[in-house]
Amino acid sequence: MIKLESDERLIARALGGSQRAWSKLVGRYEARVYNQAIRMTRSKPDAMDLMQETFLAVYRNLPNYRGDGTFPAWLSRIAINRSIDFQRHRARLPEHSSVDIDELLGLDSPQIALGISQQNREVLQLLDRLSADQRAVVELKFFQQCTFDDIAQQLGISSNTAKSRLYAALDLMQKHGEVCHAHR
Amino acid sequence: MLTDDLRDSLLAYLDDRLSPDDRSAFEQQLRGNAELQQALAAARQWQDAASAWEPIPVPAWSRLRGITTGIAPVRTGVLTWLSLGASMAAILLVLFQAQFTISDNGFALRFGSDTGAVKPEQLERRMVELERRRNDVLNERLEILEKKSLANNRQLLAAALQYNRLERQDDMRSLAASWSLARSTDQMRVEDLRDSQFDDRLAIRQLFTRLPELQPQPDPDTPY
Repeated sequence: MIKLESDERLIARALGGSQRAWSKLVGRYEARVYNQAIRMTRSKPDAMDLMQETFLAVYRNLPNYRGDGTFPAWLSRIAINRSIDFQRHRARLPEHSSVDIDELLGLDSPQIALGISQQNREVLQLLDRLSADQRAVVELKFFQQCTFDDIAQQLGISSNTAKSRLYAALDLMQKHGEVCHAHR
Repeated sequence: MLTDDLRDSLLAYLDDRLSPDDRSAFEQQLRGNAELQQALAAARQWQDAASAWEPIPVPAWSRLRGITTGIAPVRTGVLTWLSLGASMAAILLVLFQAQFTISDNGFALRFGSDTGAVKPEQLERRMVELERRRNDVLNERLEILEKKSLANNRQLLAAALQYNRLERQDDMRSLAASWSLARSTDQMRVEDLRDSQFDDRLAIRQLFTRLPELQPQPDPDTPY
């Protein structure tokens, strides 16, 4: 039976200059970060950039990781904050103000379209209605199953603010449900 | 409008964190509140969306991008200070010209240069030896240069001769072409002359044949 190396051991080896250990650590969490980045950006190329930026930031801050929380939680905090910054930056760009979700995902190209199921596309369309802050809370609450205290800690906001953002996201979904119901 | 407490209960209900009593109380409230039912439906929709998400595989990428050239995470520990100290010691040994010697008496470490201990005769011998070596090296280099120069000159001469030969060939070709042109022009002129001579002869012959007609007839009335 193969025994997996713990995150802490891989971090220690990476800090010692082992690229192999770093590569292993990234390989362990890249899918999680990439999928989170896709949900946050709704764009495959942007998600790729964001994932690379996140891991680079993690690498540079690795000496500051004290091990007081779990590594995935620490990684998730960096990833989510990077993605919020990314969203805010992109929102300032006029060309990204109103773009079709398929266009964002690069689904015009058949090669890129492979791997995006209809279910995922529907999820992304739902997420597309939210602001970056609301999306971050929904991501952490429903996709990462964090508690409000965790969400507050990760985003550096109060627990009440996290709750109000989530309720706003629920209201949006509720209104959308009403609109869809009215159209039917 | 739903109160925050009710919303909190809704999320706790979703996460299955309510006690049995609170759960039944919430469900009772849910039955009579359409807005709460809609909010629950919305929350469930997000929950369903999260569970419906199919992980997208990560495309191939370089996990070490920016790592090898970027700022490597460094922890300043005992080993760092140890290596720094060793480096400093090595630099100082070089600066102070440290010399390690092993003899029958044991191991010795001396600082500073011992060039002052060299005798004038030894220095003279060294100088002569160095000069001899320098001359050897210079002669060797000169020989190589001469050989190279000779080879270059040969190549240059061969190229010049070849160029000259080709140039002469071109001249001869153009001369031959101009001769050929002049010859063909002359031939054409000769043929023109022959044609004109032939025409002249023909005209003269016709003139002779018509000569009796052209001669004036003697008048019978005119006495000789």
